Amino acid sequence: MQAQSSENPLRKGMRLKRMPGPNTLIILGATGDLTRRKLVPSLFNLYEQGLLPSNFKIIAFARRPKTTQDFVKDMEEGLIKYAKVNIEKNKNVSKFLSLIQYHMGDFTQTEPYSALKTVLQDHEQENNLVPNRLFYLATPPSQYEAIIEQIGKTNLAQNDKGWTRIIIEKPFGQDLNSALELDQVISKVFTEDQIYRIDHYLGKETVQNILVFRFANGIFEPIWNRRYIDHVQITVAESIGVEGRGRFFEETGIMRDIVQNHMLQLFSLFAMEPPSAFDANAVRDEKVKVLKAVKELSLNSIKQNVVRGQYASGSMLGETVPGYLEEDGVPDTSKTETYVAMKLFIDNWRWANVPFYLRAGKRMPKRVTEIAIYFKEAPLQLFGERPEGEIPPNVLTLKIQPDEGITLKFDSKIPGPGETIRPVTMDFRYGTSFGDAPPDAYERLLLDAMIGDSTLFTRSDENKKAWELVTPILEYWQNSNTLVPQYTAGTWGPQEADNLLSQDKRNWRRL
Amino acid sequence: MNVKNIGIETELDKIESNFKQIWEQTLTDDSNGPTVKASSLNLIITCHNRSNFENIMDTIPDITEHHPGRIITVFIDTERQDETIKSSISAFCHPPREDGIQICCELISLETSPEGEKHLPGTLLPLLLPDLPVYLWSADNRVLNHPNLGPFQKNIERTILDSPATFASVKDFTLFLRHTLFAADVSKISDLQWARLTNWRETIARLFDGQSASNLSEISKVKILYSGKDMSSTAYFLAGWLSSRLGWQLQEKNQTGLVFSTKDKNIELLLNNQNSEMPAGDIISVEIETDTEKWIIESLKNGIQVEQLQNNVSINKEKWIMESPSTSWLIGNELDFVRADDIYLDAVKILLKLLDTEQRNKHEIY
Repeated sequence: MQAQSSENPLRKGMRLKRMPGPNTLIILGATGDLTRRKLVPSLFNLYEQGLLPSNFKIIAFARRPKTTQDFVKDMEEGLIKYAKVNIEKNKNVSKFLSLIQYHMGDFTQTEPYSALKTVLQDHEQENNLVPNRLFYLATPPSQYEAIIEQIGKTNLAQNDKGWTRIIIEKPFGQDLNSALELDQVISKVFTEDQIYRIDHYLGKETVQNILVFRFANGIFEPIWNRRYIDHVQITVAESIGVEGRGRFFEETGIMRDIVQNHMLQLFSLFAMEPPSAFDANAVRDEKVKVLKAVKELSLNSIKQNVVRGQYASGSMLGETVPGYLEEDGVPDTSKTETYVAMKLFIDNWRWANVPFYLRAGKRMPKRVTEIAIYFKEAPLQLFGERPEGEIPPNVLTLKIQPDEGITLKFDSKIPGPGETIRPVTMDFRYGTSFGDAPPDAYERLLLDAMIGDSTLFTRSDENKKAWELVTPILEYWQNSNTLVPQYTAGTWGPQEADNLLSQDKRNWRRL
Repeated sequence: MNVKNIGIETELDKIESNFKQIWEQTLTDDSNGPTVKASSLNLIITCHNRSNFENIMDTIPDITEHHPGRIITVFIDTERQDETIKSSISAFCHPPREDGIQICCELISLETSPEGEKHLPGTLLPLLLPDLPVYLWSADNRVLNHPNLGPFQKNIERTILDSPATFASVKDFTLFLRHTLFAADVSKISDLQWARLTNWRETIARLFDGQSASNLSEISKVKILYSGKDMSSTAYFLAGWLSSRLGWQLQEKNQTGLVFSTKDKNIELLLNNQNSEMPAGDIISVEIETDTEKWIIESLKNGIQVEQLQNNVSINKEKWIMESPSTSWLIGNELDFVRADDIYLDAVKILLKLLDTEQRNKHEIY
């Protein structure tokens, strides 16, 4: 993961936790929810673990008129609410907050960037620092172009002595064309190795563990193919609705919000070939190959293999919840999908004819993300004739969230004189095996970006291939006059999604 | 920490059944929220110094917070004569995490005399949780060359030593390292003294990252200054590490220091000491020179300062804040690693050669 270890013999065997060199983080759009909810709590956790470098500084760049003191107060409240920090008892809080400086300015004007440059240079000169700078775009995507243009105009994107990197939050485009346009805008100012497209799913321990589980354990990789695996189900279910973000969701839908990024990342990590090395390019090369090998979705196959849905009013945990069309900011005529199910095939040696069923939805009965691998049945029914389905297949489940862990379901004889067989499970849970709950994804990703390790970030060609896959579906829906199937909030999606599997004599996993 | 059933005295053969009872009570009593018994490892801790032992006991909550498992402490009471082994057990739970779950662990405390140590292997083996890694933290290094504990190491994944900060003679230091290498044939070895050197190693390595790596082949002189009058194990470990990683071959000891060579050039390595306020054995500074560059790395109270000079003119000075790691942190770090630390063993081997050279020079006989 660390490129420098191969060049510097003194790095070999170093067991210190990976720590970045001195640098400055500039968060653009710092007054947004992401900073308060995720970025600052993650940075604080890194600070508490001693993983932030000395002379580290956070410059919070935003349009709202505020003082540093006001902004710090907001962040302090964020720490209490989202990081559950006891401000009075924890002495590190004030030390950490003193690293923050608020910088007010209009993103579209040059002057605030020139002023930012001065702030950065003063801090670096004062502390004898190499100018290492990490920009974080925490703004709506509509502002990316203006920001990047201004960064370029003020020569903030390059410096001779240190490094400059930029983290960009998803969505990286709205479809294939806009993704290519965005790439073009960014590449005028930054080179690909400076760009860190963040998909926080890749920062999750459980997602990273997919690779360790597959490639560090001798027993799984030999059966990770079409010979032993019947099919795979990937689920990303949310119990919440659009939570007042109807207008935003209208522009995205679940295909853009979840499937194009999080879900296809899980899919490609699960299905990729072993990389030649565990470094950024080798891992990402293999992920791209999976996306390239996905069987092209023709118009006919979209009709047959892709289902969308929209939640209608229903009852969840004793409360009536509104349907999508009743949400604020959503027009009555909306055809935006809040549910997607699809069947994909990967045309390569390993996965030929193994269906991958993907489903993502809002207002599902519970929040759960998992990959379930269904193995083929035993070749012979030794224990007498039984009705179909009485001996369920072995299922290996990689639970991404919540309740992170891995479960293997297999069949066992019920104790007693008969030959009754019942499935039982073997469970691995992070909590019981490691004591600690997994850290927040942003902690890992922020640290990696500071260190310069882009393995867990999306590369331009990955993003492009993912858009190539979903754009024909989005275009088909846009041009289609058919109604969007409805499903009752609190259920597992529309009937059409069940049909997608039942036509193959399979069922969705009951979660 | 919420300790349940502190120190219930238990006969050795009743330990498991008594634990079962404790857990049945603990896991069903959810007055403090849900509790989970977590086991990721076995950690045996041996010690024969009372005050050191108390310090070790203080580290257990921190260690088990991130590495829950079965902890077995063995106190060797040098004042006792009889060879019996006393045992007690306790179950302890950490304060609830954010999700409300309390993680609980097991502690078995054994106490015996030096005479009773011969019974320890047969006592410890049945107490180990199956299929989980076993670590032995020999806090006073008693395991080295020990007639009973030494062979016992073949049952464990890793032995954690803590070599003394200073050695009064080359002979003592050499003997210690030889025993360490013998032990490394039986089990993987870690040394906390070596682990404490990590901040220095990280700082020096960082100077040669990326394009600066080419400077490594240009190094002509290294000067390590340490505190106190006796030989500093960390300073010598640092010298051993540099020479083993950079492929320096030891040539001779001259009047000023040790001379190493690569195929292109000679490298002079000086290990000097002086009295200071710092604890004996601590490294005060390291200077690394090429023909044109020089780095002066100095220890600060809360970190390390690095100054870079070019043709004797200072061009950069940085302070890097690096907290000295606590013992529990160091132990936790060792528990995370399963591989043998070849870098450490390479440094020990070079160090033995280096000490042999020093010894020949001083005509010490042992």
